[in-house]
Amino acid sequence: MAKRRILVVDDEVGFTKLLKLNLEKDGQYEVRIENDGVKAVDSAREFQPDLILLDIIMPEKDGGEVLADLQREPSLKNVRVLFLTATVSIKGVEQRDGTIRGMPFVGKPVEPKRLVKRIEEILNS
Amino acid sequence: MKSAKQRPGATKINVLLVEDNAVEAELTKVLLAGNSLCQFTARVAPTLAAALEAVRTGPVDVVVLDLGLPDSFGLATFDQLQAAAPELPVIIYTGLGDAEVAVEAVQRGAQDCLTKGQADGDLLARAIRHAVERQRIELALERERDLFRALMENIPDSIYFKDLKSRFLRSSRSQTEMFGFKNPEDIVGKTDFDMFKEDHARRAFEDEQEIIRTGKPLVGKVEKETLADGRLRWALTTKMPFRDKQWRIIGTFGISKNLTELKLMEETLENERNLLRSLIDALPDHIYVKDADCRFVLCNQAVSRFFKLGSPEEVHGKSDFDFLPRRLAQQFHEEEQALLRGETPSVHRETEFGEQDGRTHWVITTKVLLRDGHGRIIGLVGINRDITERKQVEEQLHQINLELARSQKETLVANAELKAAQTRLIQAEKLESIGRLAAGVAHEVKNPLATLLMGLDYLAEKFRESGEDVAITIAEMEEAIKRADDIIHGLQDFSASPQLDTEETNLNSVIEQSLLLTYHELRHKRIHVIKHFAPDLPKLPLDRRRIEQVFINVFTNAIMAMPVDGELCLVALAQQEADGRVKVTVRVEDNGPGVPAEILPRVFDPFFSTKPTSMGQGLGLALARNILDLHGGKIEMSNRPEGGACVTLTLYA
Repeated sequence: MAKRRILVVDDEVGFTKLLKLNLEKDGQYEVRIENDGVKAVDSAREFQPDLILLDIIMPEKDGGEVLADLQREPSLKNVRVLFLTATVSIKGVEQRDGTIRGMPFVGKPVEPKRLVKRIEEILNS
Repeated sequence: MKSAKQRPGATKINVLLVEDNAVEAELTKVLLAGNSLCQFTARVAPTLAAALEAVRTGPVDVVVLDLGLPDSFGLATFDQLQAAAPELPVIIYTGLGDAEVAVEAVQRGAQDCLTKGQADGDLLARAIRHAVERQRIELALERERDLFRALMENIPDSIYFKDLKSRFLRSSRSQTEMFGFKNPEDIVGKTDFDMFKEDHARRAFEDEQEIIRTGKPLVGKVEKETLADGRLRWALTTKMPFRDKQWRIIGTFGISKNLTELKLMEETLENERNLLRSLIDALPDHIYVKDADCRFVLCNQAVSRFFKLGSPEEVHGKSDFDFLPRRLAQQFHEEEQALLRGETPSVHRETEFGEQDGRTHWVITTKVLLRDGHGRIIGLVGINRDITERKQVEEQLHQINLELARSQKETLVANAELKAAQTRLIQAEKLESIGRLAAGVAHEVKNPLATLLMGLDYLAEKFRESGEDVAITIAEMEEAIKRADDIIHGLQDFSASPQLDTEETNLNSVIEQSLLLTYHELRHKRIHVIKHFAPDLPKLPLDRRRIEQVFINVFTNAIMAMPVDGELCLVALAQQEADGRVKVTVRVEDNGPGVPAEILPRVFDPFFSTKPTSMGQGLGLALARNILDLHGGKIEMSNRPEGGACVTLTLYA
């Protein structure tokens, strides 16, 4: 079975490196990192991921804007997106039915096992 | 004045013979004694000095005087005697050669003159008798003249005599001077036309001619006269026909009394009376006079109008009972009788004056005693002033004051509410800035935490086989990251949006729901819950979800402090505040160890906790206080006297 391609868009350089290590260590996923929100759509067009883990608060261009641009791009408009964000509280998640702008999300910090579980749920849905 | 009043013939005439020749004297005495007409008593004085002495001592009715005496001679003798006794009649009785001197003496007042030797007894006696009689008549006449003169010279009334053509014959001095003349003689022959203006002069003339024609007097006529110089004069005049001895009318005479001052006084009085009348009639106040029986004597126009009378005169003899309701009339009557008895003065008394024109009239009355010239009480004078307008204004003022007091109270309540709202607003602003801070901090802290967790998990995989110590280390680190994450979450909840989502809520159901949500903790420690909820609790404007959070936090806090099998007592009651708001109090009483006094003031501070770190972040009660603050309520903690802590929550309907 081919590796799933995951694009991580997050300005936290250290976090993205460790996330990539964790996700690739079992050989399930091919992970590409994009630390600049402005370049996210270009990277996605080029990489053609199965899933994008998208941070929300980023300098220059935030996650909401990136999502809007992705949805305008024909080759990417059906790409799956999982928001990965430090901005929401536990209660905030409950109040939002687990979605932000129609997309699922996971709050930071998150245990890798839980994250993988969510990724698998989304990819298999 | 001795001899003149004796009637000749009836009594003896005392004759003093002044004669130095004793023979002549004796001869004369013989002559007198021998007369047939009347009796004489004759004394002889041989010198003037003796004669003067005899006259002084009397009685002497007549002197028969020889001018040639040893101590005096000629006319000087007569003059001296007359000076000593001016009213005594003197007959000059002298020799032939003295005829001229004798005539001179008669001119100077001697009654007669006889020549010695030519007179017999009868002639001498007749001469003496005539002398005495003539002197008496002259004196009487002079007396009458004196009386008349006194009258005409001194009486201030005008007295006058006029002839048939109304020309002045005589005029009293007062009248003369009134006409502007000096001597009464100056106006003799003049008429009223010279003294008065034409119209009065004509009237007077006609009156007088009427009297002359008819003989009827004009008595006590009051006349208004204008003098020639324009002076006005009032007079009371009486005019009579002036008759002679034959009773023929020869003119008129009259007396005229000056009434000018009296008339002027009368006019002044009349003017004052009119002035007073106009004044009291012009006044809007009721003014009236009553007699001792409280019957009206007079009143002014204002009273007349109020009683609907045709004129003020109609009030005379009537009383308040004729005009006012019986109760009011009776009240006035009693007041006035008390005043008349001198018991109570009645000054500035406010009285309800009955209905008129559909509204209640109010008057302020002042009544004072009326006394006659001798100080006796004869009635009263009253003044009523209508103060209905003032009373109405006072009433309006009273209403406005009440209104003012009411709106003042409303303002106070509004102020209290405003202040509470302001406090909530400040609280909300505070929370909002804390919220922004918390959100920023959360984001900045969570990212490194995420990196740490990611790294730790990776390391855990790598060193899975490296032994128990590594596994424990990694587990502790993971636990620490989780705790830090919990704190960040708590902070985010604590500073959640200050916007409340309130609706009228039954507090009991909120408490029940909160108990349900802490069911596991309660059950775990087998806590017994006792509830005393007042049945009449009003619905409160609450953010239900947040108040639930408050109770959950308070219950959780209490349960943690309580021993197993503890007792949690919940009391809820309502009570009306002084400002009208309804206050609802809920007490949550536990039977734990209570709270040390020194930390009681800090239990609601954020991150303050006495519990082990693993059991809470110290934000539960701080959050509860924030939520209560946002509701305008209060939360307090105290120690119960019987042991345990009590949290008291206060909310307002």
